[in-house]
Amino acid sequence: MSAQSKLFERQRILAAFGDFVLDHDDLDQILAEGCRLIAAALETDLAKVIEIERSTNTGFIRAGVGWKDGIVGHERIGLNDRSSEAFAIRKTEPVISNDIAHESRFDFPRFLLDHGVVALVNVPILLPGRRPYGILQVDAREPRHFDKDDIEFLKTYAMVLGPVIDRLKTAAELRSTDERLRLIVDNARAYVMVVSDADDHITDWLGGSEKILGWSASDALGNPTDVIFTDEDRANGVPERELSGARKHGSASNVRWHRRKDGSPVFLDGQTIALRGRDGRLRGYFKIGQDVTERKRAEERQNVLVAELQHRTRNLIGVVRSMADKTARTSTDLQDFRARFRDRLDALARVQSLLSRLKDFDRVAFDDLIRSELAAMGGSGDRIRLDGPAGVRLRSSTVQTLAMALHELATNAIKYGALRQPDAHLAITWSLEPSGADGKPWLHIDWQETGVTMPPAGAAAVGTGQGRELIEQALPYQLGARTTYTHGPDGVHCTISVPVSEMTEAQHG
Amino acid sequence: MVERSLRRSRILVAEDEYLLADELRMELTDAGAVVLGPVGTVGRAADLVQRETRIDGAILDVNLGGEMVYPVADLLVGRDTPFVFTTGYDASAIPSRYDHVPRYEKPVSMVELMEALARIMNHGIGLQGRASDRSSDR
Repeated sequence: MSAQSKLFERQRILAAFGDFVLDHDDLDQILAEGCRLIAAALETDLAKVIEIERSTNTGFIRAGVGWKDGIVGHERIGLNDRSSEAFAIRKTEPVISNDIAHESRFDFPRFLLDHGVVALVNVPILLPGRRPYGILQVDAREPRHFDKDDIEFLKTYAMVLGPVIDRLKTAAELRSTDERLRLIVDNARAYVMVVSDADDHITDWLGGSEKILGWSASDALGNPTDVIFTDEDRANGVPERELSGARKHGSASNVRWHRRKDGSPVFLDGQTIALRGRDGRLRGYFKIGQDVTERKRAEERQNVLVAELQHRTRNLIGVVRSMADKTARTSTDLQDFRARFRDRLDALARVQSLLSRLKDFDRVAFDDLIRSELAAMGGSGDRIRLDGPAGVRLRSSTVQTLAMALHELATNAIKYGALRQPDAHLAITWSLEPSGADGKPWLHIDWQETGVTMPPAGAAAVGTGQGRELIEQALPYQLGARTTYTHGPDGVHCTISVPVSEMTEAQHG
Repeated sequence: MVERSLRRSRILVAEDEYLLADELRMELTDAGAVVLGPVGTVGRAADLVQRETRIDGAILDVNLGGEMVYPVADLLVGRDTPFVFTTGYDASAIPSRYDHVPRYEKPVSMVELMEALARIMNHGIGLQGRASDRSSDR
């Protein structure tokens, strides 16, 4: 081939390679084709591209033509002092070994010798910025004289390869980074992640945004981010304040109730971050927030419970103080006061323990209350008859006052009435009226003592009168109860009707 | 001093706990006051305020059987009747429009409460404060 037709042929090959590159974006394919074309141009059957692996100081046979299986994509060579490739990389210029039998500068890898290589050229491939990427190596199985034209052509070829490799490697790295980020944001389902532009129009609707807020990405894109704020916050300019806070300070806390597509509330705990480019110009905003609605609700429930507990405790102390006052007014001496005060305090404590055992929405049943009171007072046996439905659920606000009234009745019965006199009896019967005067369920309690020898008419009234006051005054006042209290010829008769909880056992489940 | 200032004054008592209401009733009666009520619900308290032509002062429990007493408080403000709050809750939970109203956390000291009542009825702390607010608006 004449020098001129050789030149034309090599230009044709360069053009063919350029053409191939335009149609392909897989680096391995492009390098393989590059090797094939370069081998043809140099009229040899062996060529390869070696990629530097800095971490191990080796060269990886990334692509090649003419090599047996197990070399390309597998073999690595050491880039040490005796390596011709390392030498070329250091010099950043082609290094020629026309006959390796007479080469004293280098040692050659085993597999080269196995393939019968006797001559080779190493041409460094440089990336933009003159960063070494690796080596384009052309091998021959007989001694060659690689001339100046060959070397110039190879240098040109390597110069074309550099930017091609750089572009594809950068694109591949971007793709992999992009995929990694995509995987992260797609799987962060517990978080709302919204990106908006500098005018705060939504550009990305990521992570759990759709699941948590209800709008699909296509619903949401293009809208201002204030669609997820509550009407009240919007009216008060909260969205704007948050954005200006983010612009001023880099980020602004966003911990508040937001609104779902269906209008229901969702509590997000997060922040809005201003996104700025390297030039400091505002590109947009990133809003990220965790859905902590359940935790928020639990906190609110807890706050209500704590306030309620505080309320009850303070009222209870007031009740104890007034109980002490009342007991003191009717006590004959300190010892009398002590016994009776302690007795009432114990009754109050029993009610508290009944109440404290309850869970949410649970209620004390009347039969439990009366049995607990009678048992504590030692009132049991065949002289007491209890008759009524189980599980009539008392309103929580009712329990304490009703229990204290029952306690006073029981105390009087033990001291003076049916539970003191051997021939006397006590019948406590009750019934539930599902729809009472006001359409609500009422409990009717009947306390009937019989066979009691009553003091003669006109004698001093027995008992302290405190039980009677509780029944006739406190229960109607506090519980809206209807009550009667009479001293019959053979014992006390008392009726108490109170509205009870509207929740039935069945509803309670 | 206290007893003299409460004597023959007509005091509304709104308190849902019978024993506490009864205690207030007795204390006020001992001090020579006429007790209106006591009442244990917001509805009854409001009825009473609308029915009575003369109320000199009031003691309002903030929470009456789960209902907030504020409608009653507003009626009293409307007729320039001084009152005090008692509460089993943290007193700071009371709305700020009542900042001028004396408040007593339970358990309430009866002596302090009676003194406070006498004071606001004699000097009209809350009311004159409001009246001067209004005049300064003009």
